[in-house]
This record gives sequence, C-alpha cells and structure tokens, in this order.
Amino acid sequence: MSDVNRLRVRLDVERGASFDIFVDGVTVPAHAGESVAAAMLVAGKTGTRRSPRLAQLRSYFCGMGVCWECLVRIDDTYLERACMQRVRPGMRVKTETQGCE
Amino acid sequence: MKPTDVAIVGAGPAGLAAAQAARNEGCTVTIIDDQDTPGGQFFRQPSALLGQTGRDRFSSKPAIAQRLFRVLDDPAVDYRPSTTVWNIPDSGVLALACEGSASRLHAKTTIVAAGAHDRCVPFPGWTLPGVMTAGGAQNLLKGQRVLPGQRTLVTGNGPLTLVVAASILRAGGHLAAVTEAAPVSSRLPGLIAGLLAVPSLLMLAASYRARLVMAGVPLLNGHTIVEARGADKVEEVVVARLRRDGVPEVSHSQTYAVDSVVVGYGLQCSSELTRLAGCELSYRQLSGGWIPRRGHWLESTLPGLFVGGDSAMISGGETALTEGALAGLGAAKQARGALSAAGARRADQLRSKLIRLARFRTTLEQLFEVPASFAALRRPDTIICRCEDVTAGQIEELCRDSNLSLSDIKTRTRASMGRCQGRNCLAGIAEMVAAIQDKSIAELGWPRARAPARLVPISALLCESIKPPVMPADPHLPRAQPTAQARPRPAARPQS
Repeated sequence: MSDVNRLRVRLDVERGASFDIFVDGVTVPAHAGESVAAAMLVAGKTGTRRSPRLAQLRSYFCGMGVCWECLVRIDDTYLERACMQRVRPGMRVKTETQGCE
Repeated sequence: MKPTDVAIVGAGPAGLAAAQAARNEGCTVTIIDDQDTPGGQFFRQPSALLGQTGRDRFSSKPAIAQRLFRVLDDPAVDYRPSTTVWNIPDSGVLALACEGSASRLHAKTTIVAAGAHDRCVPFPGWTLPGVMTAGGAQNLLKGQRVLPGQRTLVTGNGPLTLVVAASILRAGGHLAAVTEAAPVSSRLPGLIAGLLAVPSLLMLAASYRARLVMAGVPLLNGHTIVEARGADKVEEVVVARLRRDGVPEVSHSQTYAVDSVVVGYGLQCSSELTRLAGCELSYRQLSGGWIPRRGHWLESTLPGLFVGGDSAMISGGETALTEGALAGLGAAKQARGALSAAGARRADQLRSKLIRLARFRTTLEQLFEVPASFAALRRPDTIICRCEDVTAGQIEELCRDSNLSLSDIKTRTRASMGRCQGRNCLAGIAEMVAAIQDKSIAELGWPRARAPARLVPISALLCESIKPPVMPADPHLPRAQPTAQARPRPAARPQS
C-alpha cells in the first residue's frame, strides 16, 4: 500500500528500522515505541472489534484506555486495548474476536 | 508496612506538580498511573523507544514537562506506571492492580489527580471507524506522531477543538474544515476582559487560530457535525449551522469528503474514584459532571483525600499544575503536621493564581456555552451506548413509558454496563432522561459507583486476600458438618 507511512509524522522523533507485526495474518510494518493502534491505523487496518448486537465494525476512539472500542486479541491474550499496548516484533493481532472466539 | 506520606493517583500535570510540592516538604510520595509513560494527556510524550530528538513541538509547555518528570527520579518517589487504582476500600488504603497482580497501598494522605476524558455527543455515524475523540487525536499526535487521517474534519465545542486542529496542521495534515458549535466570534468582544485574566492562554489561542487562517482552513463558528457516513469507515460528513435553540439547520448543510473525523465536545471529570470513595459531590455539566466539594487545601469532604486538576473540575493544564501543587502542599501539611515557611508562602501564591485562572475559566465557559445537550443531533437509531449497542430510541421509549430511574434504564437496556463502565455514555443518558422526565440530575439518582473502578483482570483480584463475607446459616444445609481444613488462601503478592 503506497499510503503506508504517509500518516507518520517526522517531527521530534527519529524512528529506527521498522519490523513486522501481523494483523489478522497481514504483515503490518511498525516501529519500536508505537502503540498497536497507531501501527494499525497507519496501515489502514482501522477495524478492531465488532459491536455485540448490531455487529458494527468499531475502531480506535478515545485513545487513552477509557472506551474499550479498540479491543483486539494480541498473541494469546484476549481483551487487549490496541491503544494501550506497544508493538513487539512478530506480534500477532487478531481483530473482530469479541474478546473470545 | 510503613504508609507513604502522600499517594497520588495520576501522573499528569496535577499529579506531577503535587509530587514535586510534597517532596519539597520532605514527604515520601507514591505516584500511581495507568499509562506506561508519565505526563497524562496534557504532557503526553512519545515513548523513548520512538527515538525522541529532544524537541517537542506538540506540547505547549515542553520545558515545564521536562522539569516535572525529574521528580520521578527522586529516590523518595515511588513511581508505578501501568498500574490501576481500582478501589479506595478504606480511608488511606488504595487497591492497585498491575499486570495480573494486585496489592494494597497504605497512605497517610491521598491525592486524586485522575484527569478527564472526552464527553461524548452521539450523532448518526459517530461509531464509524475513523471517527475519534479530540483526546484520541491528540494522543496519536503527541504520543505516536501519527496523523488521524489524510483529510480530517475537526468538530466540537470548546478550546480543545482549536488545539487539535492546530496540531494536525503542524504535523502536516490536511483539514477539510473546523467547526465550533458556539458562536464564538460574535461573543468574543464582550468577553475579552475576562480572558485577559490569563494573557498567555489568550495569546496561545490566538496563535492557533492564526495558524488555521493562514492555512486557509474553513473555520465555521456556530456549526456542528450532523452526520458521518460510510460503509465500514467514514467517507463523508455533513456539517450544518446550529440555530440558537440548538437545532441544526439541515436544509443549509455542507458535505465534506474525509477519511477521519475528530470530535471534541468538551471533557468530563474522571469521577469514579471520588464517587467510589464517597466524597460529597454536585453535578455541573458545564464544569465536567460530578464536582467534589473542596476546601482551602483542595481537600474533599473525606479526611485525608484531596482532589486536583481536571478530575475535580475541567479547567485545563495550567490550573491542573497550580491545583496539583496546592493539593501537594495540603497533603504534606496533613501528613507531616506542618508546612515550611516557604511552603506556606507558596500556597498563598498558588491560591491567588487559581483565582485568576478561575476567572479565565468562567469566561471560557460563557464563550463556548451552547444551548441544550445536542439532543437534536441524535435520531432514534443513533447508538448511545457504544459498548452494548443501545440506541437513543430504546432509552427514550423507556423513559416516556414511566418514571423509571436511571438505574432501572441501565438494568433494562444494558446501557452503560459494558467495558467502559459508562464513561462514554452515562452522562449523556442521564441528561437525556433528565430532559424527558423534566428532572434535575440530582433527582434522577445516579447509579452507585462500584469497585472495580476500572476493569482489571480477574487474575489480579484473585491474589487479593479479602475476607469472605459472613453469611447467615443456611437452614437447608445439614448442620454441624466438621469443617474440612480451610483451603489456604493465596497471599497477596508483594509489589516490588
């Protein structure tokens, strides 16, 4: 995707080399220190959870751990907030899990 | 275990200023913060891992932030990041959870400096991916150096809208338009005297505004978003002028193609701990919801519990810094019995500064005041409770049928019973029910705050050694069974 990185701002930070994380099996480039939500947003992977009754796609909303809309599964931990977790090389993120499967 | 002199909940401007003030008086300090980096929302920094160059063009006071962060390196300050305070079970006791383990902290005094979060104003399409709060956008910019999208509408009410819009421009983003619900321009001349109480803040706002004008961004006063549309992501937004009675004139609306919307309709105090602890509070929507009654030293009505910054009243970073310092001195005075002469002088200076800041704040409230609670923006199928998918229609129908209480509506619809614990929706639902039933918020009866104040993993709670409740004897069970050896209870894991 040519748009990747266009949303990353190069002010006051010098990001190191990127590494890969996997969002629903798709490779997403990420930089150390980024939140999972930020790496997903830059890569255009905005959807995080489905709402329980209407099955609407939801996404990063409050950005500070309050709203729980950016709920994803990270590796083997269900119920993680993508905005509160930092990326690690090789991390596997699964969206639309409703917290469990 | 020796109790800490001052426990501080929150490492934002108020919490850090409180820590510094208490340390200057020789107190031991423990700071608990749920984020992994200090600064709260106001002083949010990129992670050190992101390769900071030392400059910070997204903070209005980078030098003050850096000076305040130094207090965390003080050996008499115990800083606990990524830790949640989920209960205040007793005076001077905080229940903490950190990565799957729980512990208790004993403190002579406690300062709640828990900050605030965005107030939600539901409108059709506000749940679409790409729509985020002003706080969410600020966090992307400040903490991640990431733009919310390629083309953004910033909409809302209050000074934060302007701040976010200016930050997006500084980061090189594109703004379709910025809308402010209040008719700010026409009110400004009459209110300028009050705003001059704090000239530096007025200048800052003027510079933000100038940046928007220079970039040619349409700045629509007295306008609001009325709808966001798109399939699985926001694609376009509809903006309309607001009439004086708070109803948008949809016949004269404009549509913008965008991939992101930043919505900032003001902030709400994080009041869960003050409510849970049982402080005396009053509800003032304009000031951020549940406002604790506080005394000369910013102490609440509970002995040893102080409240400072935005979790006491929405007043912004400058006030948070000042209140935090004053609460820190108040707590130190209580924990140590007396203040130094310098501390006492400082407290007087802080109080006179707070008077000027309060004048500025009340003027801002007048400047940005808008009619009603944007009730006209919602339709029956508009989602009010995001967690549980409860619509405005469901709630309106229930409160018309009978005089159900807020708690009844909560239990019947599941509204506010999701993971956010009502932080997104409960204030809005309360205002909706109050308006329909023609009651005040106080008459409505707010659902009781319960522990855990924030979601914590059950594994953390399992290491709490809490006494089981004493149950009355069950007449249906065979009596006088010799008790088997009581199962050993896992001991509370000590926190290093």
